[in-house]
Amino acid sequence: MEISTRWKTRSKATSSGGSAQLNLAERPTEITLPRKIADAIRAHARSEAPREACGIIVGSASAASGGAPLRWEPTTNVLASSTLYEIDPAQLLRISIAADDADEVIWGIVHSHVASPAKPSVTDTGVAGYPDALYLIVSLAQSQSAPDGEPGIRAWWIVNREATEVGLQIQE
Amino acid sequence: MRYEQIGEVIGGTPLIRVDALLPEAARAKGIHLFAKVELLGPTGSIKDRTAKALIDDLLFRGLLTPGKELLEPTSGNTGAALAVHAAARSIPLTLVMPANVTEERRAFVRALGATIVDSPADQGSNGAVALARAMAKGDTKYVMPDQYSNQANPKVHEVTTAPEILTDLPEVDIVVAGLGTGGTATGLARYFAREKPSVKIWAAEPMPGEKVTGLRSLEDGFTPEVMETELLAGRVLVNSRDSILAARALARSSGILAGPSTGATLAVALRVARDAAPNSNIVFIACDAGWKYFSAGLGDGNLDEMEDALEGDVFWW
Repeated sequence: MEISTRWKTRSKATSSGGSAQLNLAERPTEITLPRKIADAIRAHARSEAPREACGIIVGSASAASGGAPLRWEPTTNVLASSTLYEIDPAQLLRISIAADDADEVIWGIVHSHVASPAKPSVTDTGVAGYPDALYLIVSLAQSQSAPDGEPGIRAWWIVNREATEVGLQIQE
Repeated sequence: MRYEQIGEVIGGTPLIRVDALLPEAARAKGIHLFAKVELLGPTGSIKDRTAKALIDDLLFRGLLTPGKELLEPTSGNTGAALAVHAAARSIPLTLVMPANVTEERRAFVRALGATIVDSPADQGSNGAVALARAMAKGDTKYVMPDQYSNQANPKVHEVTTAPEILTDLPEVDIVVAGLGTGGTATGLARYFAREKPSVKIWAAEPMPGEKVTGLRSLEDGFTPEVMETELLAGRVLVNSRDSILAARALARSSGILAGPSTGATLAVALRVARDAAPNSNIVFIACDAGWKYFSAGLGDGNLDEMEDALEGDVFWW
């Protein structure tokens, strides 16, 4: 009888989920995001406006443990709201299974704020269920633009409903 | 439809096509996915079949005679189902459960007339089993159905669940069931080995150390006596997070509101679908209703917090 070894090796510590997360002190204080992914996130946020946009960044290992971001997967906001988001659970499940099969993890969880700063709201910290993933928020508010005029993106650890900002470098 | 008592309203559950959940690549290969919706029974779980079979078996063997009382350690679906059948047949029932089992579950079985005996909360379900065994040893009025060792458990799936699937979907190629007592998977495997040997039976098993309510991991070192793992095509380990996600996805995309053990089974079916031959027909067992898990946050709660809630030491079997 076959036992799927791939899933057998998977544990909470490596799947960017669960409560076995790293302390804040053990996490990277600055994160680098490829420009290609940042541009795709901004484009998705613009195309979904005035609704909040959302998506997943798949990585080599959890962001908290220093894993690298590999690719961007835009998803549907099933709440179709200008102030709330929920990633379509069927898409999230599909991305989780595919990532798992490729020995990858959910590295980052992304959503947009249409008119407010790129800071997590109380609702955002309440629904954040991946403590070892990086939470990225892109703001379409003019006042929040990056120096190059593009929508600003900020990064956060959200652990036990508390958000802590992380330095974000966008690099070619 | 007309019945003599509610305990007869068992089985004959629908097979519902849920292709929307399949990955694009699987749909393009002509693969179809069906849910065997067991959660429509009197207590909303596949244990409705099991409880009826266990009681029928005890009556048939002459072990459950007037003056005897049913006794089972369970805080979950089996307890609820036994309570329905016991009430419908006027059989006294005592359920042993850890003292920390939620009031929601206690109220359900109490309303059906069952007596509850508390076992120490810190000993979890093993403590409940130990206490029930001690009670049965000390008082001959108690009769324990014992779903883990009673062959009536796999048998009911061999003679009802499996033939229902083959009748409704003669083209079935793969069936995925959760591993709890092993009764469902073993019964399905025995039937299909005989009637359509090409059908592969896959089992969904929780990650070692993780608790998907209602299921248990053989890797944790416990193999129920009714389980015959050599009949299975394979076992796939699944974590509680993916189980919850899959249950949510099933609810949103199909309107079938099921619990985390169904989610685990669905997550495994989706994995099996990725490697399945073109035009395969895959059935997974939707074994348990979702309304029992609202207080744990099944619908829209924080995934991480729900995972922790489900990993408390209270099981639903």
